[in-house]
Amino acid sequence: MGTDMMKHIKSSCTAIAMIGILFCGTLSATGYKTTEINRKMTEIASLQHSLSSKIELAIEKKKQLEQKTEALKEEIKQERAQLQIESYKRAVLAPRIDYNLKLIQLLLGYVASLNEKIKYFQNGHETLGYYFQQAQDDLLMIKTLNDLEVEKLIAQINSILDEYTPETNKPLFDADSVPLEDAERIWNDIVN
Amino acid sequence: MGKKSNKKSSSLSDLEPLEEQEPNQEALKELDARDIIEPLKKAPDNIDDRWQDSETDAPEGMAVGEQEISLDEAAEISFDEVDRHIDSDPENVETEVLLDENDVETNGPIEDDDPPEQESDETAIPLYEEPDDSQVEDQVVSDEIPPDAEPKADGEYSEIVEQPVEDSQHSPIADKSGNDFLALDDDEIDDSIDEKPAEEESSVTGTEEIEDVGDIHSGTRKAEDKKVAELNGTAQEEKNLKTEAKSQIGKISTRGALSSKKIAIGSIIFLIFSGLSIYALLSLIDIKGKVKIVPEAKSQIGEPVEPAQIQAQTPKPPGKYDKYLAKLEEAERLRNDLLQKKEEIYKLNLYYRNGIVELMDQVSDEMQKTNISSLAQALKNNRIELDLRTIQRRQAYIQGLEKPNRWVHNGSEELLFLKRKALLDIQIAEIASGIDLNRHVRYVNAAIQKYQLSAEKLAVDDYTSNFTPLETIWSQIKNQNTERAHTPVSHKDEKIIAEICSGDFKRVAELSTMTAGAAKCLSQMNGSDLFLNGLKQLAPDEAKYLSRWPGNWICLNSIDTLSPTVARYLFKWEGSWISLNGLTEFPPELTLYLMEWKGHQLELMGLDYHKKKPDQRALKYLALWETMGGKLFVTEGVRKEMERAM
Repeated sequence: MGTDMMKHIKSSCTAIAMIGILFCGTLSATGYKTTEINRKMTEIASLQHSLSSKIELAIEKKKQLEQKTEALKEEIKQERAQLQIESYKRAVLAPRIDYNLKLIQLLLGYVASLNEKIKYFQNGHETLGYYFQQAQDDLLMIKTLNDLEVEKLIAQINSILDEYTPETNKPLFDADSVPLEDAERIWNDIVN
Repeated sequence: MGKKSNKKSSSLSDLEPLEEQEPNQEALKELDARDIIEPLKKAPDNIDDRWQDSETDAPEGMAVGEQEISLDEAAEISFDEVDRHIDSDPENVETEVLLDENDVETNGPIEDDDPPEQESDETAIPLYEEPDDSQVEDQVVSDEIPPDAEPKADGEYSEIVEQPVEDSQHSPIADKSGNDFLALDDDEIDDSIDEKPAEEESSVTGTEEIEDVGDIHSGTRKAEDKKVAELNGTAQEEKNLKTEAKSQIGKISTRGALSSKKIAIGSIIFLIFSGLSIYALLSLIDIKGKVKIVPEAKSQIGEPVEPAQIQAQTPKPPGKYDKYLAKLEEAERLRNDLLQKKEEIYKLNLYYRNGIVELMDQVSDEMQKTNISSLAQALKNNRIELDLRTIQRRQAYIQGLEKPNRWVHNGSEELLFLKRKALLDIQIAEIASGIDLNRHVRYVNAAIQKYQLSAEKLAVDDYTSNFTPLETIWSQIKNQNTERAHTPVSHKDEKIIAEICSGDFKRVAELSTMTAGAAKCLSQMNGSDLFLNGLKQLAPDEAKYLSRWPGNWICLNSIDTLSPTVARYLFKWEGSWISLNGLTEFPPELTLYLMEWKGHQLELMGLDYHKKKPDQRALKYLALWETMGGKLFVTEGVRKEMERAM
């Protein structure tokens, strides 16, 4: 009787200990996931902020370049009127028109590059927002259910962070590889 | 301990007197004399000691460091104040003595163990002392400074001081033993010696030397006392009574003295504290004052020097693009030089053009005068031939100027392009890669090198090869004369002209054609206004005569074109207002003469701005004329274009 009792007590204690260990392990795993998701959310917010700054900067520069383009186009129109130039061949003989067309080529190339980059950053910003929302939802699930599979989400977040984080430290575009529009086409756009 | 103290107190009270002290009087007088002179010098130490004691009792929370600093200084101040106070006030002799005693106490055996009450008792001694009684003073000092009695006096003095005042009040002996003996007269002292001679010897000094001296003195005193007792029995009784009375008075005065001592000590403490507080306040005020004064001083000093400081303190840190911007500024300066040269070329061109027009007018006039109709005849006329050759040369010059003008224009445009491109790249340098600003610098340097102004670069080609044939020039003049010949003077105008030349100017405004003769007659007209709004053309010679009219306002609103020669005469007129509202164009050639006009108002309301033929230069000169003080009347559209041109 006494030995049975002792055995029973031992087994009970063992079970309790096992449950305790499992519970603690679960708790620690849950805590780790929560921390990791919180960390990723912070990183997402930070990257979104950086991307927003970049987008804002790019838009500002783009506006400036567009204003310059318009000013040059207006100058070409005046010069054309003054010199009574109708054809492109004659227009390029006028230094002001020729030079302005070259500048407009460059400006349009810069603007196109900026547009491309703005679009890219906006896409990244939206994607990050999507993952941020998912992380928030998963966090709530973890808090409620004490556990949830988040490794996949974290991997996805890491992937997009790895893609966009270096971009925030890079120039918006490469001026050497800017696509230049045809000058005659620009001239025709101005004339017409 | 209680017994012992009582015993000692009783023995002391018995001793009190002179027998021990008289032998030392001479020596003590010297000490006294020194002490009277010196006490105040030592007093600060004494005060400091008190302050140190008080510091130890200072409440918690007081900053010790601050206390130390302030207290030391306060002690100095308070001491000085007390010193001055004592020196100035004769009533403060007591204070002197008090300080003296304190000084003595510090040097004496009672230093550490004396409680404040003891000091008060001790210092109370001289308060009822008669100031004139120097002997008693000596005794006081001698009693209190028994150098030989130091070991014993330590305990004795402490016990004496510890005795409450009430004890001395209860017993006159106790009064004497305590300290009141110092106030006794010589006679009283003698009496007291008679009463308790032996006890004095044994208890006061406690040293053999003093005992010996006491014995000697007691012997002599006894003999003297006997004689005195015998001779003055009644007197002795009276003296005893007086002594008792005086002792009673002394008790009373002791009470008063104690209270006055307390007041004095309190006042001193009050003075010290007040000095301390004043010092503290002053120091605070000083600190505040310094805080206030320092910025004021800075501002007073700083204000006049402020611009220099700003200049000195705001050196612009070298910017990232300063080097490139400096190069672009250099290019801009060169471009401005080129534009200036271009303007000079343009003016020269205008000058030649106007000269050609004038020469053509001269030739035309000469042709009419001499009735020359062919080039061969014209070439035989030396004047016409030279005019024609001058026209030929000037036309060649005008053609020759095209090359440097084009070179200058190209240079200015290229420099502008390089500058714009460089600025564009600078603008995006921070957000884009692949921008080589040094490449821009190289290009700008090359352009600067290329377009530096020099006589060689501006040199015109051989203009003789560009001469226009004289025949061409002659035909141009003939065509011009033919156009003028198509404006015959109508019959009505002939009549009006006749009226004008006869002095009747009523129908001047109806005149539609002008002749040189009519213009000459009009120049004689009196009046301020001349309305010739019917005229559609004006020849140079007509303008020449009209410019001599001494009026104020001339209206030529139907004239739609103005040749440079006409403008040349017209703008020599000394009137102030010309209306040319029929002009649709105002060529740049005219502006050269307009700039020389001394008039103030010009109406050009008919001037139209042709977008397809915009001549910014003419508008620019018109605007420039306005800036020189002229008032121009033009349409709103032209006004805007003028503003743009400026």
